[in-house]
Order: sequence, then C-alpha cells, then structure tokens
Amino acid sequence: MSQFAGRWGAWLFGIGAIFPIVFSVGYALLYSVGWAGVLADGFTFVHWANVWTKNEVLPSVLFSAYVSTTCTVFSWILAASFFVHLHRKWLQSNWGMVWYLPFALPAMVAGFFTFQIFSGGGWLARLAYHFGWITSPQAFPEWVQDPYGIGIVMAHLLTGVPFFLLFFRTLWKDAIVDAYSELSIALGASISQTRWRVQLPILFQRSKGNVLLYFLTVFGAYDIPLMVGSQSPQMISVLTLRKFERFDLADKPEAFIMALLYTAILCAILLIKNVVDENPE
Amino acid sequence: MRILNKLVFGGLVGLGLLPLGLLTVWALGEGWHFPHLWPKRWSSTAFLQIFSGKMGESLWLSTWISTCVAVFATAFGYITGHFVSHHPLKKWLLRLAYLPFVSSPVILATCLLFLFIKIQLVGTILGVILAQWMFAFSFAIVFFVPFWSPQMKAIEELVYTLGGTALQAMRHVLWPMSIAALRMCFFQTFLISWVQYGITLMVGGGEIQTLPVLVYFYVNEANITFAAMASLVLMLPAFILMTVNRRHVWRD
Amino acid sequence: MINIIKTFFILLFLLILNGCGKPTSTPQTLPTTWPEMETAAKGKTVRMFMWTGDPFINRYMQEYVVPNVKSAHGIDLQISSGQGNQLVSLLATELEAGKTTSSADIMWINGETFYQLRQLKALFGPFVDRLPNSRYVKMNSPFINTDFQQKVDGFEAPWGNVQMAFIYDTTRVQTPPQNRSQLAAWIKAHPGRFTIDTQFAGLTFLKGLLIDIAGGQTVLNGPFDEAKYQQYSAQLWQYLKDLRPHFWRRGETYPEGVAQLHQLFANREIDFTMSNNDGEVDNKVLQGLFPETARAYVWESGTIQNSHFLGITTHSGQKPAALVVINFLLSPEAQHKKMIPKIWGDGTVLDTQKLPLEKRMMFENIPGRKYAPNRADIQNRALMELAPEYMIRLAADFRKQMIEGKTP
Repeated sequence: MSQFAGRWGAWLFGIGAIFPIVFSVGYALLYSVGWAGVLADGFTFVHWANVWTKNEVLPSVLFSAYVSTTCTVFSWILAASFFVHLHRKWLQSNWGMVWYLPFALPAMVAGFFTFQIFSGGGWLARLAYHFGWITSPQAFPEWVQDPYGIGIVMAHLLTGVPFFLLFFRTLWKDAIVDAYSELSIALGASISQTRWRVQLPILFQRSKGNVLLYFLTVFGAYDIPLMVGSQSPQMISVLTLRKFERFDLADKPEAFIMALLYTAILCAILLIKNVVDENPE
Repeated sequence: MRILNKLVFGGLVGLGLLPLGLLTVWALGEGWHFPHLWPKRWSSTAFLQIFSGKMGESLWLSTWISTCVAVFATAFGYITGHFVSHHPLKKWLLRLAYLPFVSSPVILATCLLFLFIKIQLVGTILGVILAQWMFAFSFAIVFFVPFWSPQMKAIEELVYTLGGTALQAMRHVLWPMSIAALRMCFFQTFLISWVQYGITLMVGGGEIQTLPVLVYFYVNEANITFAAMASLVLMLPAFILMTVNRRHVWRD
Repeated sequence: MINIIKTFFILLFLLILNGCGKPTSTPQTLPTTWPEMETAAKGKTVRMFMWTGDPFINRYMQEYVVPNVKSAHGIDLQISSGQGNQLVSLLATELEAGKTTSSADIMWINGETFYQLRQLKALFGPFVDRLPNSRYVKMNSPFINTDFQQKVDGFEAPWGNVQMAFIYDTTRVQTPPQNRSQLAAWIKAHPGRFTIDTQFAGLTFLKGLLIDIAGGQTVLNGPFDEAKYQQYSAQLWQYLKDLRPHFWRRGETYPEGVAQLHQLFANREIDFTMSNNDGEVDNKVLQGLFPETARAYVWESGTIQNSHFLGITTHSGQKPAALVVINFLLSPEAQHKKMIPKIWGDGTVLDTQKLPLEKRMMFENIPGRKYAPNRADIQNRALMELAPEYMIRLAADFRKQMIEGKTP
C-alpha cells in the first residue's frame, strides 16, 4: 500500500486537489488584469480600480461575514443548550434520530422551505392571519429577502442546528463527558456548575474545528441566499455569479476579482484554523 | 422540570419532522393561496411525475452521477489520504486539501468553466461528474488522513515483518479494517454530490438536470407543487440512510 | 512533489495562452436546396437553449415540437435551460476557450442578447431567407423585422410577437391605472402593494415609462443617444424615487424574476403583476396560479410590443438540422398551436393573409382569450422597443439608483 499510495497518491493529489485551485487563481488573475477574456485588450489595472469605486465588494464581504458568524453562533448555542439539557433523551430515544432529516436537507430545499414558511404569503403568515394577528400579508414581519439576512440565517439554522446536535452526539461518547460529569457531581459540584464548567467547555474545545468549517460553508453559500436573500447587500457567491453573468460583458473581470478576494479570505481563515489546531489551549 | 424537558424534546422532534410534513402537503396540494392554511384540492400529478416524467429522469441521472462521484472520490481519497498522511509535509498538504472542500462551489466553478469548455466537457455528464468529484475528493482526502494513523502504518509494517506480501497485507489486514470507513466516506461523498446545485448548473450548462437543478427550475416556474415533490425526492437518500442503516453510515 | 507542481504551472499557462488565440471557425458549406437540407438534417441531434420559466411553454416544446420534428424530420431536439445574459456568458467563454463546436445550436433570443451575440460574432447568418416558411412571415411589420431598433438582417428568425401587459385582480382593484400619473396616485394610495422584478418584465416596464417621459415613441427611436438617456432617465429615477417608499418592502428589495412577482401577486402580497406576453394571464389562470378574477390590460398610453426570435450559433455543428427545426417552428401548424391560449397564447409572426384559405381559417378559429385583452384592440397601443443599450443601462442604473442608492 505504501509504495502504491506514494506513487499514485502524489499524482491524484496534484490533479484533483492542487491543480483546480492553482488553475482558478491563475486564470482569475490573468482575467482581472486584462490578459484573458474575449473583450480583453492588454494589461490594465482598471478593473481592480473599478471594483473599489462601486461600493459593492466591501458590503458584500462584511455581509457574508456577518451572516456566517450569526449562523455559526446561533447554531452552536442552540444545539449546545438543547444537548446539555436533553442529552440523556437524545442519546436514548430513537426519536432523536429524526434530526438526521433536516441535517440532510439540501441547501436548495432549505431555502425553498424557508421561503414557503416565512414569506409574507407563507404558511406562518397564514397562521397569523387565522389567529387574527394580521389582516394582510404586508403586515407580516419581513423575514425573507430582508436587508438583515434573517431569512438566510433561518434557512441555515435549519441544517446548522442538526449538524451540531449530531456532532455533539458523537462527541459526547468519544469524550466520555458523562464520566466527567459524574465525577464533577461526586466532587460536590451542582448540576449547573457541571454544565458550565465541564460539559460546555468540553463541547466547545472539541468542536472548534467544525465550527470553523461550518462558518466557511455558510460564508461561501450560494443556493440559500439566492432564494431567500435580499438584492442588496448580496452574499459573496451570489454577487460573484451576478457579475459573471451580467448583461454587460465589461463586468466579467470584476467577477474574477471577487473570486480572488474570496480565495484570499479563505486562505487566511484556513491559516488561522491551523494556528487554532496547533495551540488547543 | 421533567415535563418541561419532555415538552421541549417533543417539540424538537416535531420541528425535525416539520419540513417533511409540510413538503408532503405542498407536493400533493393544489390551488393553495394566501390566506388558506390547507390546499383547496389534492392532486397526484406531481407524485406521478416520479414514475413517468422529468422527475423520474432526474432521479436516475442524479443517482448515477452521485454514485460515480462517490465511488471515485472514496477510492482515490483512500489512496491519496495515505499519501498525505505519511508525507513529511503532511501539515501543508492537508491545508491545501481543505481548500477545494471549503471553497464556494460556484466561485470555483466560475473560474474553472473556461477549462471545462476547453476540454469539451461542458454540458456533459462526465463534466458534471468530474466537477463534483473535485469537491468530494477533497473531502475524502481530509476524511482519510486521520484514518491512516501511525498505528495503521505500524500494523501494515508488522505484516511485512512477519513475511506477508503487499497483497496479503491489503486483503487480510488493511481491507477488513477499512470497510467501515470506506462505507462511511462513500455515503458522505454521495450526499455531497447529491445536493450540489451551483456547479452542476454551470458545468452542466443547463443540460444536465439533476434533482437540485430541477427543484430550482420548478421554483422559477412558480410551480410549488412540483418543487415540493422534487424536494421530497431529493431528501430520499437521507431518509433511507436514516431508517435503514444509520449505524453503518454515520460516526455513531 | 516540486516537479509535479512545476509541471502543472507550465500546463496551466500553456492552456491559457492557447485560449487567448483567436478562435478559428471552420467554414461549413450548407446544402443549396431545401430537400438536400432536410436530408442532411436527418438523424441529427440539435440542442436548443431557451427560457424555461413557464410550464405551458415547456410543455409545448416537449409534447408538441420535440415529437413532431422527430417524426417528420428524424431530428432529436434537446431543450436546455438558458437565456439572455447566461447565454452570452456561456458563448463568450466558449469563444475564449477557442471551442470550435458550440454546445448550443438554436437559441431563443431577442433584443440585447441579439445585440451582444452579434458583437461577439456568435450568430450565424443571414439564414432566414433560406427557410421555406419565411415567405409567410409578416416581414413588413416594424415590430417583426426590427429587434430593439436593430435590423434583423436574417440573423435571427421571428418566432412570436407579444405585448407587455399589466395583470390585476378585479376583486382587489376596480379601476386600474392607465398611465404614469395614475399609477403614481394609485401607489401612493396603496403603499406596499406594487413592485417590479429586476429582469425582463421589469425592464420592459421601465422602458415604457422612459418612452412616455420622453414624450412619445419618436423621441427615442434610432440608435442609443447618451444625452437623451441622461436627460430622460434622470426624470425616470426621480419619478421612481418619489414612489419608492410606497413600493413593496419600501423599494429596498425587488423580486428576482417574473415568477416571484407572479407568486407575490397570487399570494395577495401585491396587487399587480406584469408580463411581457399579453396572453400569459390565460395560461396562469389555467395553471391555477392566478385567480379566475385576474385580468390583463394595456395602458392607454401604451406598452412595448416586441418579437422574440430564434438564432443559430456561428459554431453550431448542426446547421442544416437547426434550420429545419426553425422552419418547423415557423410553419402555420406550429404557429397556430402556439397561439392557442390553452397551449401557450403567443402571438404569431405570420401574415395570415398570405396563407392558403384553410390555414387562414385555422387562425381565425382560435378559441378566444378569456382573461387577456384582444390582440387587435391593443395593437394601436403598441410601442416599439428601444435600442438595446437603453436596456443595458437601465438594468445597471436601476440597481445603482433604486437598490443600492440609499439616499432618497
């Protein structure tokens, strides 16, 4: 295996993992300075300069960061508090398995579902109408396609909370949290002390890597913001594709500048992840 | 307190089932506008699409594509994971391997579209498989790197020390130890491919209509009934895995 | 390892350099006579890209056109989803990559897509005169021989003709606005009940307003005029910004496409939707999306009428088969079928006077529209399309002024 894997593994790694990234970055770079593309006429920094004057990029990056932070924080807190309070039931009852379902909810379906539930003419609005709380769809709070990204966050929570719940389920056994908790109680700690000082810190320490992965997934999300996001600000993937497919062909280089910025941010975060992994404390 | 816990738990179970329940109602209901809480009519048109219509075609296409992606990603990830795991620059290689996996598929696809057109793969099933495979493969590498631990290596070397051949080591030692991980990786890469939308749309050039593409297609037609039915079909594998053999699939 | 990485870098740049070279097209010689064309087309597979946002249109293509070109001409017609800017960016990338055989053969296009594809030299032609059925087409009508002020010149074949219409629900709105000032008054009296989408329908609406502001059709006819655009669009944005706080969601966001707009209307979130096709209301009622009390109408001050066309890509590998398919789509039978409200409700581009009597009768006996206005009644309210740059600019400026512009 060693010899075989050494030979073929190197090739596969080069072709499958390195080449796509190197090609993408190289091509995007060339395109962004006018060295590639159907309308390109030679080297220029004009597209790089243009991007900054339009005041779209920075809001989009900040908005993406805000949405992914919110999603991550809420998913983690919700999942952790459910789990800490209900882990016994969660681990024993077969009904707990129901949460595999939303976890496997494809982003596309989560977006569709969120829209059908939370929009002004959606299912909750209809419930509210029947309870007499609202008289028209307009009176229903703006939860999808709203400027604060509420719809995007809710759609992501639909899969994010289960993601962490299931992860905690595995972790709880691996990290023998029950044993530590019993020990802590035997030593005279209260239940709430055990939760705050033992259980939650273990969950946090052990899930740091997944927290970051989840953050990155939401950061680059496309399907959900496309369906339930507002038109301004747009998340980074949506904006990139919009520029790529815009009526005006002259906007295409800007799409590649966005792609480069996105990759740079991603690399920076991955480096941080490594720092986190290497210094667990 | 106990009752409260029970209530909360029950509520959570209900919440978990809610998407399934509501999607079913949407998929079978017709003529259903604000402020009606319940559909006016019921109809099986959307359901019948699964057997003879676009949805059925998409179901087969998606199954076929995802199976190919999962097989190749798992097999190659198994080998490459070994390579990365025992490489002196393991830490750096792993960082690189993470990159495609966490990248936004549509952004990467935007940059790679040129390449796919160049090699004549846009609008072909092979192109879609290849594009999805990149992401699944990157996941599989990350998945298998911890699997090829120093202990595994020690066991493998022990076989050689005891006079075993590479083939014997593979057949009698490594393979039995790998089956569970391979199965898990297969199902997870299958799901990664199964739900992929953006990259399929771009590289498929609108011609390769997998289930997620079909869901969006119906949403764009404002055809809620069909969109909901296609969504249910899209959730099918997760549902099957959950009920049939979750123990083999998830790290439980 | 280092060596491998180096090899990839070299490979990468070779590929890109290769792509920068000008694509060379292989000149194809087409058969000269139509029977030869049909023979050459037999057994071929043709890929057609079109907007697939309407189940009725999709059904017309899948259940009528596809089987008929198969049985009559032995051609496999495959339908793919893609329109407007997506098509332009796909074909542009194909040209960049120097691809010699396009993945698209036939494309459903008009206006600014036609303009951009002509710029890219991505359209094959002139070909329309080669089609036997083109003799029936009403080529003397300016609404058919001109596409967004550009002469069609045989580079795209007219397929259908439609006029922009507003759709409302008679149970909710008794007297719908008939012009710009009435619309403004209505919106102010009913805050939050009106919006437009950011794609074709919404942009066509904006162009109609622009023509009205400029004082009528004649002012903006002809090629794009920057000074005029600046002058009249400033008034347009002023008009819209004045109304913006009263739009759905206070004009902070807009539906992405016309399907979303229709859905908002169906769910009673807004009171108007619009369509580039005056007949669409009939098929949306039949689908059950709109209530039976929905009606389409055209403003007294007029709305834009335009044609939509079929083009062939320069690098299509199946030009004879593409021509045969387009010829079929222009046949009196296919045009008649398409015009029936239950099927699609799309206006024909044929001059029925040129048809033999029995075929003319077929058109005259099309069951009437139930919810849409009569074609003949709205013809005198038709406005011509503007040059494509107007639409491109309006799309960009709408975003700048109305979506991103925070100051009222």
